Amino acid sequence: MYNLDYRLEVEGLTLHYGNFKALENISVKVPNERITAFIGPSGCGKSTLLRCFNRMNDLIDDCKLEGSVFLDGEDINGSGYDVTALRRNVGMVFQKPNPFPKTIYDNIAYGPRLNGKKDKLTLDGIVEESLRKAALWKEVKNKLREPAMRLSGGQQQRLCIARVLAVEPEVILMDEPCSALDPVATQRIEDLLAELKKYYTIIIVTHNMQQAARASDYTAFLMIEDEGEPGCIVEFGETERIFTNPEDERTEKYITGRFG
Amino acid sequence: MKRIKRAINNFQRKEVGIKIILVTSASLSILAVFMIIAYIFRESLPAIRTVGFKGLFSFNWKPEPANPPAGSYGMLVPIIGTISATFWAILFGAPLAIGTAVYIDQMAPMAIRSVINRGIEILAGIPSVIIGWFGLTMLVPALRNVTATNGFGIMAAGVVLAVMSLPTITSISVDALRALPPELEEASLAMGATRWQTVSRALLPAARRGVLIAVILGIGRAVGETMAVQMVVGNANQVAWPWELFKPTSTLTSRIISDIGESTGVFRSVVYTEGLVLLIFAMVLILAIRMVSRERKR
Amino acid sequence: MRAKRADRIATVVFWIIGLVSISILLFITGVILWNGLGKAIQPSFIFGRPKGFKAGGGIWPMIVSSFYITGLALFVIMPISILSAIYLAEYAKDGRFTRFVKFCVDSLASMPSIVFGLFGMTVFVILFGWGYSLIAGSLTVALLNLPTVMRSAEESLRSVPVTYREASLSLGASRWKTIRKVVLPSATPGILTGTMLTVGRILGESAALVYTAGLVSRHVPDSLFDSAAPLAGYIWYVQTEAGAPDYRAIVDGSAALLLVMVLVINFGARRIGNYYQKRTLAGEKRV
Repeated sequence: MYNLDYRLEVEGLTLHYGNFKALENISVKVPNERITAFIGPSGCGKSTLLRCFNRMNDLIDDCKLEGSVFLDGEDINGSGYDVTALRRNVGMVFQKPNPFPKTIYDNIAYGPRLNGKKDKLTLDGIVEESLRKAALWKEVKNKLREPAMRLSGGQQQRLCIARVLAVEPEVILMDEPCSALDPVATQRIEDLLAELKKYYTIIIVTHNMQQAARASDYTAFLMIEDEGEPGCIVEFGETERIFTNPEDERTEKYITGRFG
Repeated sequence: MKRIKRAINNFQRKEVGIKIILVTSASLSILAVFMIIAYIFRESLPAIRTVGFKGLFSFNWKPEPANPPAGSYGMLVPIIGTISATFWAILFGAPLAIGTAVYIDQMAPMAIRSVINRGIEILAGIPSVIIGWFGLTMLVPALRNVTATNGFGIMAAGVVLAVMSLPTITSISVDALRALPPELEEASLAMGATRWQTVSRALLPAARRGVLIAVILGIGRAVGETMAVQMVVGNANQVAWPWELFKPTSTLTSRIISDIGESTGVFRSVVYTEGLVLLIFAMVLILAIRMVSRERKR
Repeated sequence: MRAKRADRIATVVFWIIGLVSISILLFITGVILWNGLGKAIQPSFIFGRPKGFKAGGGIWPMIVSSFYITGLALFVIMPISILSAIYLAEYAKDGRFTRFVKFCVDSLASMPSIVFGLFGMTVFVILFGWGYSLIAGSLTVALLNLPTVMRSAEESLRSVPVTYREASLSLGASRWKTIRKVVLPSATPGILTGTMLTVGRILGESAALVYTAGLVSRHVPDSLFDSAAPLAGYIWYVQTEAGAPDYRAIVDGSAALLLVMVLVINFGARRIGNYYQKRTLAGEKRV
């Protein structure tokens, strides 16, 4: 039996891009139905690590993995593991909002349709529910048939979150979801996160320490020793402790702004 | 989880099937190239065997459609015709085309720029029979009046081919100029260089490989052009060197299109051999482009 | 001050070059339309049949042949070129096979159209025994235009942002689903523009067609194996044979009509391209 408190586990993960070692010997257990933040200076591999959880690194030709990532006790890199099923279970929100050049409705309905849901009433229900959960319903309910590209940046990002929710994942990965947004839009996304963590396990990558401190329950601090060196986890623990009483000197230096 | 696992196999099988279909389609191009080369080569074998290289590469072109083996088939006549016509086409066309490219990229006001750009695209789309007809009804009579010849020949073919390679060379040269980093132009202008100095000393030298590729493609267009040339070159059985501007002659393409309908036996095979020579020209040009672009990468 | 004078001279020279280039186009189109448009708009000419050595022949079978051949060729080109483009843009990794495919596509694109004509005649007309026919002509021009359509489709596919693919894949779509539902629809306008330009090229093609489809047709082709004479090839044939007393008027009229068709199609292609550009730009601006 696997431990129900930790749905996602990483064990001894090392990742290469060609000859470049991007991550070394990463081990971390991601707590269930909590928000875990990955923080660290840019280039430390936190986004790369995030992309290991839904195998988006598969898209890169010369990317090699050692070690394992377990979802519900199963190795997601194991032979015969269905990537598409994995990605339905582990949704992802990207750095820049990336709606499809389709209508708002079709953006949300994209995932459910992939899973064979064609009935209009069912789809209508899913679209409304997902938009409500993403706190976007009120703003767009009268323009579901308009192109998603016409929404503002913050709305587009919430649309992308709704699009993920429509597939009913258990885990949501967020790769600096607010880096392209203004403070007001960022605030709305953070409020949304607080709401969503009641139902989902969320991992958020951010270089904004205030955001990590405000929004997350657990924090992992990653860094690289030097240019060209692989990234590794320096410290992992409850967010409050990491920010008030870090064990590692380097963590303290980073969060107090002395380097990075 | 079991349900998911079962779905996997279906998914993967479908993806593999799709990949097979895609690879097959892509392979059709390979098949096409080999089939074309193989069939043209096979059909030219009788000529290579009976006429021989010596006979084929001679200046004696005297086909006998009624009794093919009795004719002489010196392909040097159309080969030199092709080279002569192409020579003048590029001599007329390349400076005009490169100049137009510089004009479009550097000098033309916005409004005129788009008009000329569009005009060049349209020129590229005009069917070659139409340009040939224009050459036959306007250019050849004009040359006839000016020169006291019948107007057909290398000059007429060169002008027509210049017009046809103009859009090819222009648009690719424009691309080459556009691909230059803007800093290059800014740096030159900032040092007090005039527009012309910038163009002639900074931009054109930097874009020279792209411009060279454009000219090679223009040559390809000129060598392979058929209908327009056939209509103005005269199709005579005599050799015309580049300096014999008003002597009616033949090119490879004009011979093929004129002879393919009526030839039999070894004459017909010679027509395919002319096609084979065209293919070899095309391959040489491709290799030339590859060499130029590979050097650029260094 | 010599530099300044050189600059002024160069400016004048380049202006002249630019104007010469554009006047060549205007002159040719002007002459062709001026000479032929009067004939080209006569219904008896457009809808009539050729009359051999007698005056007053029309070109209806040739017009229809042109469109039949274009349609059939596209029917063959589109699936093959789009599938190949998907392979090259989405699946192929840089390796020996991919490079070889690209080399072959380049080679195919650089072969003169008359060589395709020779090949089509040998294989489709003689070896397959189809004779001068719609199908032989269509397959020949299909081969001829395959590489250009393939390249423009590949380019359109490559210009679709990676973020669309990431979004779709991250939602659990398979690679193929992603291509079909997101990548292809986004690339469609670009592919359509390329296709329209190809339609223009096929309508104007003659060298590859006169000895595969046919030179002249008395009636509209009624089967795939019936001989067909596309308009461009017919223009060449009529001026070569010079049979009918009014052959000049026939060529003038046909040339003007063909030119108008090609121009309309090229302008249409541009419009699609512009519409597409405007639409995406409008979308991008608001991000």
